[in-house]
This record gives sequence, C-alpha cells and structure tokens, in this order.
Amino acid sequence: METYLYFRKFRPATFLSTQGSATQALNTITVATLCGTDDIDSDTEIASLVVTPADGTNSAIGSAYTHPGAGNPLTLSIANGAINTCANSIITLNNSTQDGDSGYTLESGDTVLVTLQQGLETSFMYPASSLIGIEATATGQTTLKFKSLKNDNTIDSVLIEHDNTKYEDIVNGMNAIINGNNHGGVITVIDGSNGELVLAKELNGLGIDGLLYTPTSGY
Amino acid sequence: MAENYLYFAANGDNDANKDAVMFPRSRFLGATSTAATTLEFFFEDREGAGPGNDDVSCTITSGEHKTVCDKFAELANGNRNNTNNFTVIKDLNDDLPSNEGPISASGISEISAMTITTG
Repeated sequence: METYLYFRKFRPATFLSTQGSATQALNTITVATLCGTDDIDSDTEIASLVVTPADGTNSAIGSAYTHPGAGNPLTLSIANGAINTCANSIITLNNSTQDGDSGYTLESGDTVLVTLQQGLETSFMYPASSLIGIEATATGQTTLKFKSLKNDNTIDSVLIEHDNTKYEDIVNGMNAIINGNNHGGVITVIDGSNGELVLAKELNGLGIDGLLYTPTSGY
Repeated sequence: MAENYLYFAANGDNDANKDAVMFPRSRFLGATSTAATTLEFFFEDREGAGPGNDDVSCTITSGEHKTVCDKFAELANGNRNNTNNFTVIKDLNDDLPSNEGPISASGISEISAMTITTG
C-alpha cells in the first residue's frame, strides 16, 4: 500500500496593503503568522480585493464602479480585469486607463484588503515513495525534496518553516509518518485550511508556521 | 501485490483521442491544485522514452481538493486481487448505448469534468 503525503497552504488569509504613494503595485504580501514565506504568483489565489479610498474625490476608477466615498469599501472585479499582474507576492492592479470598466487608479492613503483562497499550487499530494531527501536549508527552515510532478529529472521542493533547531525533529517526524503503522492512504502532513493549522501528530510542537511550495515548472 | 489500474474517462464516447485513459498506480507522480475548482493528477509518461508526464486535469467541487485526494488514495490503494476489474477514478462517459453504463462505477463524485493530456 502506497502512502500519500498531503499538504495545504494557509487559507483563507488576509493582508491589508496601505498605499504609501500613488502606485498600482500593492505592498508585498506577508502574513507572518499564517503564510511565512509563501509565494503568491497566481490570481487564482486571490479571493477578493477591497479598496477603501482615502478620500471621495478620485474619479479615475472603472466605469463598473461607483465611488463609495472616503473610508467606505469597494470590491474590485477580479473576473473582469482588476488585476494586471500577480508575481512574487506582489499584486499590481490595472488603473482605469488600462482597464476601463474594472481598473482602479490607486491614490496615496488608499487601502486594499487582499483575501487569499485555495488556488494554483496551494494544495498538493505526493506518494511517499517520491520523497528523495530532506534538507536543512536555513535556520528554522527544512525543505522536503520530491521527484518532480513533471517527471523531468528535477525536484519539487516543499519548504517548511519551524522553530530554530528543529530540523532533526522534522526529519524524525517525517520518518515516523511514512514508516509508522499509524496511517494508511493519505496523511495530512500540514493543513492550513479554514485558517487553522492542522499537523500530523508527529510534527506537533515544532513551531511550524509556514509552507512554501515550489514545483519544477508551470503548466 | 497486484498492480492497481486507474481509469479516467472524459465526457464522450470513448472513441476519440484522449476520451479515456488508464494508468498503473505505480506511475502516479502526485497531484496539485491549479485553481479553487481544479486539481491535476500527474503520471509518468506512458511512452517511457524519457522525461515527461501525462496528466489529468479535473474540475472539482470548489475547495474539495483534499476530499478528492482522500478518495483517490483510497481507490488507488484498494485491494483488487479478487476482482477482474480496474479502478474507476472517474467515468464521465454518458454517451454509451442504452444497455451500457459507465464502467462499473462512476468514481469520485466531486469530479465533474476532466481534460486528459498525454505525451
């Protein structure tokens, strides 16, 4: 019987970007207590974007919107083109010229509340037999290396953030998960669904607070 | 232990390229979400001539990635020694003759559509 290792990122999670200047790029998404070094690269991971304007005079907004007035929230339409790019945990919005109906030209002092959801590469599963190594990659970080989903002789990596000096405990825990008799079928190693952290019991008490998944390539 | 064969069929007649596919469980590489409503299963390329993969991208009930993975693992690990059947992960073929139905079972209920990609 094969054992399957399942991971799911910390979702939903929210991040508030306060615009220090009139730029369309939001601040780098960091949710230290939930996402750690998680890398947001796809707008499939964005559930909603809510702008709260600093004042009520901004006329450079898409035709699909009615200005809500200073301090009131306005939900942007992701489906109709509010997002220009999403890469390296930075979301850049279309301004009202780039997307006439769903763009929004941000002003200094505006805030944008980003809510993250399950999307591209936020949930993944590997056969335990695809695990080919566990490496201490930095203080408080351990990386699991798997045979690539693309089967291209490279590796996919799963970086786990945890308390310092816990590398050996992570390795021992993974060994117990895979070789113990306590599990069959899918083992949920790390699950951040519904905003709560659920761990395989073998990894409890290690201060796990981040998950970064880097498969070999896009598809 | 006997090999377990995993069967996927898209909505069609099973008479065209990529209407249906079957993989040995031992060639399963893993799965990942690609959106809130999609999950992609990866297998070693059937041609076996070199690096590469085949995959089945499934449309699923929103947010049910783990449920689908749980069911997939249960099916993939199922003991088929005493049957003459293979394991239906999902059979969406609904256009068979009236005296036929999907092959033995319709599979994982949270899967509603799929795209099969082979090398």
